[in-house]
Amino acid sequence: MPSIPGVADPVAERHPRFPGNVPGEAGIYIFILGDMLLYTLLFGSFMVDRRGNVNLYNASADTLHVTFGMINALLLLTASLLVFWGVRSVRENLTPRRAPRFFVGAIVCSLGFIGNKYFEYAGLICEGHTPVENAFYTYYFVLTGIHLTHLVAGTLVLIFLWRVASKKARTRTDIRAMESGAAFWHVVDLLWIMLFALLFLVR
Amino acid sequence: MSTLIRSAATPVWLLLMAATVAGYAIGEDRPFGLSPGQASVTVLALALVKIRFIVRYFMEIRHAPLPLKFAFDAWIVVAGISTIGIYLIS
Repeated sequence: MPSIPGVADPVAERHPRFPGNVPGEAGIYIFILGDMLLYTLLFGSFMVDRRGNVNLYNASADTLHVTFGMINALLLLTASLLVFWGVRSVRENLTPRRAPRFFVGAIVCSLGFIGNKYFEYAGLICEGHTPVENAFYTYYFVLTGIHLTHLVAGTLVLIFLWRVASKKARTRTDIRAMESGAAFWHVVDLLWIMLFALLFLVR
Repeated sequence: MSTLIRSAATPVWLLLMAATVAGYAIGEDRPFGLSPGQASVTVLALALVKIRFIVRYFMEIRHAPLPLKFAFDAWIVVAGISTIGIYLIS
């Protein structure tokens, strides 16, 4: 039976046919998977519209600042590693004094993403590319804009994780809450991984 | 700290960072004489592989019950169809 150090397997006790550990509250996954499913609808809608306007989409994608997109992906991946370390550190009571700093690092990465986004959007708009220019730009600004709202929410979650990690003692409920928040953060990361490929790199 | 660094997630992170730069290079420079089509399918497939690693290692779904593992893998398949699938018929 797979196990994570320091964690009991309450799920295995309740569902012996499906051993394993569910990180966080089980309900968070209904929210997360539902959100992710909405995104696949957006991806599909983008790709279907692109079918009828391939040259327009490719020409528009050429104007995007791909380096910013890549740097943003690297920032979110790094934040995710820090979140992983932070959650593990708190759950197994490793490096108790350092645990909050992992979340501070993740928050710094997240703010870096937001700063980059500002420069990216400002750059595009100054070059005359607004959300109403054509279908590609509408999708670009809407998809990355929706992602940005998720990211802002994710940053608030990171602040929450930092606060819980800073507490003198944590309960099982705290750990579960942290795991739930971390799961949401990782989804923000993985959605950007897809958006970066879809919007910036596909021709 | 060394226990954390020795988590499986750490080398996975390095791999993901390298894969991100590689995807950028493949998409932007199209090395090895790749056509735009080949490069695009490659970067999309790479994104899905990266996402699976994030789900399995960062989200710890690797240790989760089978139904949850399946749900995320099913999403990856759906995402693949809505991106690569539609790309291939474009």
